Amino acid sequence: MIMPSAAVVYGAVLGTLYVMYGIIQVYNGVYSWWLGGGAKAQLGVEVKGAVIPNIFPDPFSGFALITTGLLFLSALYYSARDGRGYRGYLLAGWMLAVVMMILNVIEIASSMLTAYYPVLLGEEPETWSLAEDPWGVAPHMVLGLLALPLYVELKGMLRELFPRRYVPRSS
Amino acid sequence: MQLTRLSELKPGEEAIVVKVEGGGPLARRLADMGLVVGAKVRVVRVAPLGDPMELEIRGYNLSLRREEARLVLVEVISSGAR
Amino acid sequence: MALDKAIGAKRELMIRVALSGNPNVGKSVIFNKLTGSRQRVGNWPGKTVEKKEGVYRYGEKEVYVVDLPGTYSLTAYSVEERIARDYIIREKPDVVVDVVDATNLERNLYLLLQLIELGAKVVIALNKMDLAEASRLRVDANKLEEILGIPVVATVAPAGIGLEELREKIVEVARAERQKPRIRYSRDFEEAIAEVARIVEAAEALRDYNSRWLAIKLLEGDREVLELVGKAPEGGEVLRRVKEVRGRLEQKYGDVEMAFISERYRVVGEIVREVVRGEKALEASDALDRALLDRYLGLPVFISVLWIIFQFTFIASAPFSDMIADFFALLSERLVGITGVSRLDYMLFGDYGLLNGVGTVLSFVPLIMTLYFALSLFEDFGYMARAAFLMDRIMRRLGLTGRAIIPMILGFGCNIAGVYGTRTIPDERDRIIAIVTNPLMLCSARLVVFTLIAEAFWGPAAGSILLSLYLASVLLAILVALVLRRLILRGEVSPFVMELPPYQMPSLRVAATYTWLRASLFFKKAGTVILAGLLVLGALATTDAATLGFTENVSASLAAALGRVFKPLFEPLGWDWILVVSVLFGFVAKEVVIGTMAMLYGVPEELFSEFLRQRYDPVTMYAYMLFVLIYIPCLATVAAIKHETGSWKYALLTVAYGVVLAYLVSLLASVIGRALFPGA
Repeated sequence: MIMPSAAVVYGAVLGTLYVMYGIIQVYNGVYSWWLGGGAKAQLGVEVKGAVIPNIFPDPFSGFALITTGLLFLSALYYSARDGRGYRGYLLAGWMLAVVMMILNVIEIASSMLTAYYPVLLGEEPETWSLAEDPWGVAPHMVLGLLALPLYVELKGMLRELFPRRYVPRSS
Repeated sequence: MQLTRLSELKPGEEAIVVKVEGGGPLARRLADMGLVVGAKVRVVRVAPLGDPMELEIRGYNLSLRREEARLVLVEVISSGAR
Repeated sequence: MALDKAIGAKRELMIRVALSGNPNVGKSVIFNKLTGSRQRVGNWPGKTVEKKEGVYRYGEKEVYVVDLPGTYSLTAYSVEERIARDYIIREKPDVVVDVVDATNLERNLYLLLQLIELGAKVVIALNKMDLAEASRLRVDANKLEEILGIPVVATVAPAGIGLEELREKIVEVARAERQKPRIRYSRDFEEAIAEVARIVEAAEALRDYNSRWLAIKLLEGDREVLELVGKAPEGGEVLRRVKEVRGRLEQKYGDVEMAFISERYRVVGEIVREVVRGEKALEASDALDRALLDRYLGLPVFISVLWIIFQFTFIASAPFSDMIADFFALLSERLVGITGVSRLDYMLFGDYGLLNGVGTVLSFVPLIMTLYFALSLFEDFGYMARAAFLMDRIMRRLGLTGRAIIPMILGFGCNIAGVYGTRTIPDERDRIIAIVTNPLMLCSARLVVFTLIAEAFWGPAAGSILLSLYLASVLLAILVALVLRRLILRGEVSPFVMELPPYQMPSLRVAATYTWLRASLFFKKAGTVILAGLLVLGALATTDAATLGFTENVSASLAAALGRVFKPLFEPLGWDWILVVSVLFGFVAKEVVIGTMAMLYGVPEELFSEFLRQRYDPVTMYAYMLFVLIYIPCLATVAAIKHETGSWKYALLTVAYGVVLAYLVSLLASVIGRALFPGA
């Protein structure tokens, strides 16, 4: 058993959070979509009427969260097992986390746009508030932000995948 | 010379192509991609559902169905230390 | 328009360039950098393969560039390869720019050798030099140029490096008379080639072709060339003599075709040994693959990615779609009455009028744009190849190919998106099957119709009814795919040989340009069809059947008359004329089915459910829903099918099998339903 690095441990904690919120979201989703609605579990803080993070009901979204969490946890597993092969999992989890965070931002922007565009047509805008937004500040955003610091650890790999300025050696 | 079919190899194993059976478009396609006699091949992994296989050849990664890989006869040169 | 004119201009006035290369080498980026916004996208005539052409100005010259399909070789075995080589042989471009991936030199040079065999004048764009460096490969461009005798330009396309030099070389090579590449195969082969070349040159009819290339192809036994030569007057004699030479080679080397391939790779190997230093190290890409293709997590990751793409497409486009639809609806409202002629008014500004129609068409555009954008990014990144790799086994069982999974999933959101999403399927037959079966996917428009009906008749159990419809949708798609593969599109199974390229930074510019082009193309092509359809429908709905004058009473219109005419056909299903007409109007867009029904009954949409419950029985309605699920896709989808397949044949096939299958399944469901639930 090899001692995993701080980044991996951080990732594992984050991963656990992803799995947790994912499961709650699946639960909410299954109830809301297929079992007649009702139960909506939350696990966050209330801010101006909205819950952060807002675990909106959607089983597929929850599935994606769980998957991301499992990637982070896998990194811990492989790191502890033989100290190698874990970096890809960390990177994969991080990429999904960032993409989902961006998705959340787009969703909010989109909702706001839908609410306010009538103004462009000379009509009354609809109301929009974070509390009423279908997603709101969901786990995708909160956990995604928490995942960002892992960039420090992943910088090397990202640089290799997406190289920067190339200066031709000879011409 | 111990010959096996490419489809039988396990992840990590390396081999040299001895012959591509069959002729026709499939064999041609495999050869075009670099699977010619004498080429060195390494099995990278197998898909989660068992098929297809991912091979490394001539510096790039190729995906091949097992039934297509069956046409390629190879000689194993290393089982890959893990 | 100006671009079309520029592209169609006389040959003598332009330099004509063809871009060739393996898939995934960055050809599109180079194409974009060269042509910028002066490009257009279409299909190669009669094929499903995409054709990109454009122009740019260099000094006083206009340079025309066509992006040939990415290929690994130039045999007669695949559509893309035939298109590429036919273009070079028939159109004789002034220059062929071979885009070569520096991190993959061997396989890329293999194609180069074939281009040289064709006798094309080549400039090599040695691309991805940055990736080569990042993976610790040293590729000597100068040495390569020296060895080949062909200009080599080192490029990093996304950063624009080397492009100016590329443009220079293009003009230089175009002006030069011919090129003398220093590629020679080993003696036995060269002698055989020379001998056959002499035979071929003696034949008058074959003078037009490059004799060396013909010689090599004849020796290889290339299907198309054999046919071509066979048709020439002296053909039979030529073929006979070639056979002799071939026989001699065969005795020494076995399968001649394979021998040539080996020979080319032998030459390539020698070149690469001289030009490349170091071993490719792609740790990050491999590491990422470990996770994304993990035995247990690979599929869940794929499902998650699909969800992300799905959500992105609909969330990002929704406000714009709404905006556009609302804008046109508002405009229609404001302009009603402006012409003073009530018929014209209704046709232009009414509910089924032209303006609303334009709005409907345009409201699809944001969806298509976001979809294409997302797909382009993921494809560029390299993930789509992994997705196909993961899903291939399941898809094979269903008569489909791994790559077909994405468009199928997309079809659940919108059939149009699904049809366009089949773009990435390499094999033409597979692509056609995926396109033609896509309309069976239960799209969101149909969901609107079904939800309303299901809730009206089954209340809390509506969810399960909907689920059953989704299952029916998938099962039927699989069934039709299997049948198509067996019956109509049978043939040699296309190998699933596919490269898994290293992951790379997706190019936002390429994605954006591509998106814009595809979307505007949709608007122009599909849009006109839909508008025409709406106009016809509008006319039918407002023309009084008896007087042929204008009427606002739909029940008295031609459309209603049509419904009554067809009603007997649907007797066994138990439909009244209203259901028939609604289905007819649903051709334009599935959501219209509900709106039409409401309008025909004269019932406001709020009281609609209650009304339905009283008038019809569950069995009939379930069968009706099955019919709506299966019968022809909406007009926009039909237009998309025509657009993507390059001909009306498949669009009509889809409509035909759709109607027939829908009727049969609906009938079956009716019969079984009544037997099982006589009291319903």
